[in-house]
Amino acid sequence: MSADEGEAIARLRRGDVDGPAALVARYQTEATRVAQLITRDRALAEDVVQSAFVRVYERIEQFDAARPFAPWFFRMVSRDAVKAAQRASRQVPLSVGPAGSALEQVRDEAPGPELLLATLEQFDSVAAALAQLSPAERAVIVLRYYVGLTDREVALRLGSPPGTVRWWLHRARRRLSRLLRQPDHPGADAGAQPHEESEG
Amino acid sequence: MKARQLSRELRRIARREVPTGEPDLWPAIRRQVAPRGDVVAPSGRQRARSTGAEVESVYVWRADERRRPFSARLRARVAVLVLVVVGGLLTALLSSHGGSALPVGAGVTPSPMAAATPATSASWTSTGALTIPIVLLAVAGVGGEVRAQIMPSRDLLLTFAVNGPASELEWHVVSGLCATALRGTATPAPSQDLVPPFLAVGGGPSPSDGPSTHVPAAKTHQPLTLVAVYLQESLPVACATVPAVPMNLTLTFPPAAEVPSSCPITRPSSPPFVPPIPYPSTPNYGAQFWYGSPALWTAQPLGGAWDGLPHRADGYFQKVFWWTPDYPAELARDPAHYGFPPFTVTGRWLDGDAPPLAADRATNATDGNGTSILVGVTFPTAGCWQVTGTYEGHSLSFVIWVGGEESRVAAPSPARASGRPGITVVRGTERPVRESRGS
Repeated sequence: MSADEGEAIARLRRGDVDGPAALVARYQTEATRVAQLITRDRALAEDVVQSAFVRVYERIEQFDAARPFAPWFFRMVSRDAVKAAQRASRQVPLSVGPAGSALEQVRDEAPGPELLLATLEQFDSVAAALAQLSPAERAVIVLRYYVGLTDREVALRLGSPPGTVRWWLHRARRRLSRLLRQPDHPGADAGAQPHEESEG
Repeated sequence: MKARQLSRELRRIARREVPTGEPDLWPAIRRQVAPRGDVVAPSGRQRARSTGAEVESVYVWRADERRRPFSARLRARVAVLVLVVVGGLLTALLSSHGGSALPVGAGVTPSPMAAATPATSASWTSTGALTIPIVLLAVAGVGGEVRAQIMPSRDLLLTFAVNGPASELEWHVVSGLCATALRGTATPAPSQDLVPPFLAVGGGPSPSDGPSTHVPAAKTHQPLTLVAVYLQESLPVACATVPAVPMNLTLTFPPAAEVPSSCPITRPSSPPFVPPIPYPSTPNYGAQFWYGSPALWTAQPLGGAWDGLPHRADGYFQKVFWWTPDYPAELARDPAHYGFPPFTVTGRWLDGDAPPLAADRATNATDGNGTSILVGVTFPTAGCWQVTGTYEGHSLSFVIWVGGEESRVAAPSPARASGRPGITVVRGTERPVRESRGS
């Protein structure tokens, strides 16, 4: 933990409401990126990160100062992002999203290949493929391949059993590679699947 | 796609969707972590959402029910209940004595103009006196925020945000209530004058503060903050010079210049015309009334006469102010950039033939009555005039008696009353000019 972080946390423990300022300045961008990758919604991601910082202020007594701050904080962000994305996915958006209009989504819950292809043509390949995953699958992909955690750390971060996380990861990778193998897809890499690198 | 490639792609997406340096979450987080009763000064200058007017100071009282123990909640509810009862009695008592009962002290000095305002008898029911305690009670009970914004014009705008389980209610309740009294000083004092000392704990924030100033309020001051917000509201309501909701309003006309009965001067409509929110329900100039429609209205003297007008080589000069929701503050703020309002004023002398009145180019003005269109008008001769203003397809006519210094009577004249203390007039790119009273 850096000296700035230590000072910010000490101020927080003293009840100084300006204590989180340094932590916000340091982590807001990275936390918003993680939340954005999981939720696929910028406004939702900012809400998640904002709430996480407020929770840091309220629950700073629960934080073990002997440990680094970032994992503790990013655990909150990733869990909240998954919950927020799951809540959002249960609501039918009124705006036209990448998968078509709200009416189309209601009428045809499983997008057909034409719709999927059109979607993938419009959007960046990996980003579009990521959006097709469930929030939990996105979370494991993001934590595993963006944050760079091991399976075990991902499980700890999400508060789920390691076996469940491994299953999510396996299913997410399979779906991702299937989506990226779509014909005429600019980012398609036929036959390639994300494979585990050695955990370190 | 290999794992390393996927990692690289994810980083690229993340950087593209959330560029470095974004977002800036601290102001919103700071507001959320501010403890109850804290006074938060704005960072830099802000503008009121409803009127676009510049705000000098913002004082926020927040209540978060979830963080408070039951005993504190109970105490808060009892305190608010007592406030409601006492405040209601105080309001009723002061209202029954009319405007003269406004207590001097408490940061509010009745203006000479208010004192000189001709006697008006008004019977009215103020919903403000009842609804505001109820809203405060709701804020204390379910959590929320009370925001008091003090405008450069000395007006007070209270905003309540009540956090319900599923929605947020934002309610602009007051705009410019009793502003005649609040704006009484010829030279506006610093805005802290309107804030009771116990609210500005720790020296109080300065409107000119650049960075955000946080003034932590001690726990014992939290109820006092509530009292302050309540008194800020209840006293202006009680002073009764400007009714919150004029119901069954009856007006006694002040003595004015001798207006011949042949001149059909414009009188208040019945019921009185009340402009749309957020404009004040009656003009803040004293001895005047609103006349017109929600699309276009103006302020008229109760006596129906502009006497004592300065006489120039080409006639009698008067500034005429017109209000319309179609002329937003954004346009008014920079007429040189957005263009001057295409407002036309014509006039007809009802006493016979006379040269037409001359109207200057329309410009803008902003004061406690909101943003208005200002047109300088020169009447070539005194007498009975019908004046018509037209803006964006809306027209409004009124009949007024015009007189010079020679027609002034001893009583306070409507023309003098129409002098607008503290008004800020912006002409083109010139610097804002604060006009002196009665100019």
